[in-house]
Amino acid sequence: MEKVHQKEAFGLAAKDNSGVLSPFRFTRRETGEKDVRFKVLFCGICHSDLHMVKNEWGMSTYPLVPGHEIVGVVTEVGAKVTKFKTGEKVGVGCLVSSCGSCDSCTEGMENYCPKSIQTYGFKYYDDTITYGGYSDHMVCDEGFIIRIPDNLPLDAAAPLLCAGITVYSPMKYHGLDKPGMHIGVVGLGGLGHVGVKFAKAMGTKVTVISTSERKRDEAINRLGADAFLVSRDPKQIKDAMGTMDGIIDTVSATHSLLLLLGLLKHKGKLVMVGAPEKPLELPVMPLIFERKMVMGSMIGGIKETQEMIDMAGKHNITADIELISADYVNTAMERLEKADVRYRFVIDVANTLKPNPNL
Amino acid sequence: MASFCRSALMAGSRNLVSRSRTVTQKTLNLKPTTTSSPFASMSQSIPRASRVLSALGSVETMIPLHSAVASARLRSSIAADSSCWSLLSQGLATPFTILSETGAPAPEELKDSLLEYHKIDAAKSLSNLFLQAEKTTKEDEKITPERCRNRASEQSLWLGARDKSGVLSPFHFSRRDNGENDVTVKILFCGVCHTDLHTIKNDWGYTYYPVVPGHEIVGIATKVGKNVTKFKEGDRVGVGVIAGSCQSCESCDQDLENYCPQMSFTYNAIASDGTKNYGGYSENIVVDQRFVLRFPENLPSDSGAPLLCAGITVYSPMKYYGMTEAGKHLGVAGLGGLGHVAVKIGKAFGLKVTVISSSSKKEEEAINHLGADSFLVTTDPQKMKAAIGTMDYIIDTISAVHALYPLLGLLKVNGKLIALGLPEKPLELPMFPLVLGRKMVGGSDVGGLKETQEMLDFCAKHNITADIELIKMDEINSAMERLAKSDVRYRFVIDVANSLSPP
Repeated sequence: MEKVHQKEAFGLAAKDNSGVLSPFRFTRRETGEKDVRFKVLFCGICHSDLHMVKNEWGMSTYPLVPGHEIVGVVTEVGAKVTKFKTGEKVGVGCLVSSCGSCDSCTEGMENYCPKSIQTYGFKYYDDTITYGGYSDHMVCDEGFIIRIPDNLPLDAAAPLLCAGITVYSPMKYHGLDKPGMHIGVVGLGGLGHVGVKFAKAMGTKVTVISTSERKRDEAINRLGADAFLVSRDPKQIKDAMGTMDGIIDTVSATHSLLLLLGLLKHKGKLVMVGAPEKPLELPVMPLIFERKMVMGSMIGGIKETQEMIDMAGKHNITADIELISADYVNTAMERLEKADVRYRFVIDVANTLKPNPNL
Repeated sequence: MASFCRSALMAGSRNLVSRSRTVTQKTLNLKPTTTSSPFASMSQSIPRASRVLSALGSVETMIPLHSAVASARLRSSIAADSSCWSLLSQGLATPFTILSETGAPAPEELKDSLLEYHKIDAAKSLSNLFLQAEKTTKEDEKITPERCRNRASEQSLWLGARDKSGVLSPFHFSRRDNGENDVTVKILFCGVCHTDLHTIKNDWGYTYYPVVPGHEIVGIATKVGKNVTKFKEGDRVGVGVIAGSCQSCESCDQDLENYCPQMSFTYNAIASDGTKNYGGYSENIVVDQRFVLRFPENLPSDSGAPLLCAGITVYSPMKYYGMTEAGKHLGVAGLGGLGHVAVKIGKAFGLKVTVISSSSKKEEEAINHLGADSFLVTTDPQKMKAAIGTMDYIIDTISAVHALYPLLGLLKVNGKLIALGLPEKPLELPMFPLVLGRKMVGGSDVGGLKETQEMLDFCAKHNITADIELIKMDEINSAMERLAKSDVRYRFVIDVANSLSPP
């Protein structure tokens, strides 16, 4: 057991790039003046968790405790904490700190702060490594704590802290939130399915763009999309050319931007929120001839995340989840790798993650 | 200006195609549903189109298109028929990387069907284009009173290219009569844009000869139609890249004639009356008043001329994408015709301007002469490292295939990169910098007439002109040779009125 801090914690960690998660005892810091400590109830499994446990981005340090879609109940607050009190329902997303003084931080975009500290696998100020939400409890500066609206179920709300804000932020920032607009959502996975729900709540017309017919019924009847477009069907594509104001592209595999740019209207915006490892081919002509734009976006700032989850509360938006027990996590990771989940695994942490007395 | 104008010309070809569509479908017995025959049968019936056909053939075999232009034209043509030109790739090795969530290539049969679908459209459109081109050329070769009945009696002396040797030589022809809405302009000066060179050499494959280039035209109004209110005889005026548009679509209503689907270019295009447009290497030109610009008093006619293309091409995106906030940092990649004007306009907006170039050759000039604040050599890793995350905007005028990665790295969070060059192949767009820094890549294509007027007035106010080398009409062929080697700082301008003599 790693003994750095005073508070004992228990979780699931990858010990090497095999990616296998196993029980892990560690410690977290004492509740500081501005810290909120909370008991973790649920934690979503994001695709980045999979990348990180396997060190696919080459930046992982082991042992690694993943999880950045964390919700729970406050158990202790520091002396100078003003916004939260014991017993409240809170969450932590992808970030636990940032410099607080750069342009990005000043403008409430902590996510773009070059010194921001992510929820797991990053070096904290005291030189320890941050541990994520696949664990029994969390401690975090109140500035990075999100209040979860009372009416939202905590398990299905957890994924909003990453998937939700990732699609919400660009819709707001790039002005793709106006009623009547036509928005395309590419890829119906964890991000995409939440994208459909937010876009509908904003009053836009939503078309899901997918490679196969498989999810048509679900997209329209369950998630509420207005239309479904199979990208491999020339007829469907032809009819949809030049009809969309914006496209949220959640696909992280290599794919064609040319086709997506063709679906956009003049001056339309293609927002990439997935990040394929290899560069994609950018045809310049649609940009020059029709002033179409390609832009990226990454999660969102804390204020914006609160705004997002408040909107989710108002419109009853949650993720579609499959609740799993802690001992199912390795199987879940295998299934996630094959995209075999509708649409997010969430670990029932409080009920199923038990300290192993033998460790 | 190879950059933008290339695109302009492609859009021009879209024009041609859409206008001639009806003709072809009657003339050509093309069966869109048959899969293998269109190309073979077409190549027999239209020998002139062989170049296009070979381009199409390469699509068919999934081999990279032999020239970017052929593919671009292919796309432009598709646009006319199905408004889905974006579907074809930009000359890349795998034209049909079909959207795939798994990253796996699409099944062969799907590729085939998609490909087939495009080929048919492309074949239809291209045959239209080339029939029209052939027809027009023949007409032009045999000038008869009947053939010219829609044209004018007003004689004009032209400097035109007759074939792809690109050699320009004088000949006589006529412009249309001055109509009710027209302004007839006696041409004083005309800039030599890189597009002119590409067009006379048929580099993009759809020049229809004879072609008279020139779209940076400054002159004096000599006659105005009775409905013309904006100009009177004796006014100094300019004509840029666009000489016509539908004047009724959404783009036209918003003064964005440059994005009008029926926009026609100043040369190598068909006007709304079905006649061919000829450009500014000539003694006069007749243009609808909407497409005529008032040339501000203090703007010199010779060095002001290139603003009509180069100037608006950089000014328009700066305004549209909000790149004019004083104190912000602008990078200008590539210091040629567009780049040197971008530096001047950027400075006039109060921006800090850094020229980004692959060599230090032009450093002294960029700073001391053009007024740039700094100069960044992309091959200097230390300087490049120091410049990471320092720029708010970048105007990228490079039309060769180049890496976007280092340029995106120079941008701050929320930074904007505007591409004006049109490389032969798609560029590689790395996603991490885009996503991690919420950066944006956009483009732009000349500008509308209202905005062009605004740009001219802005340049006049800030004494912005292009740096030019003034040439006589008979020096044009050697100027073209020098231009091909980029041996000009930064624009040739022809002293038309003082050097055009009858052949």
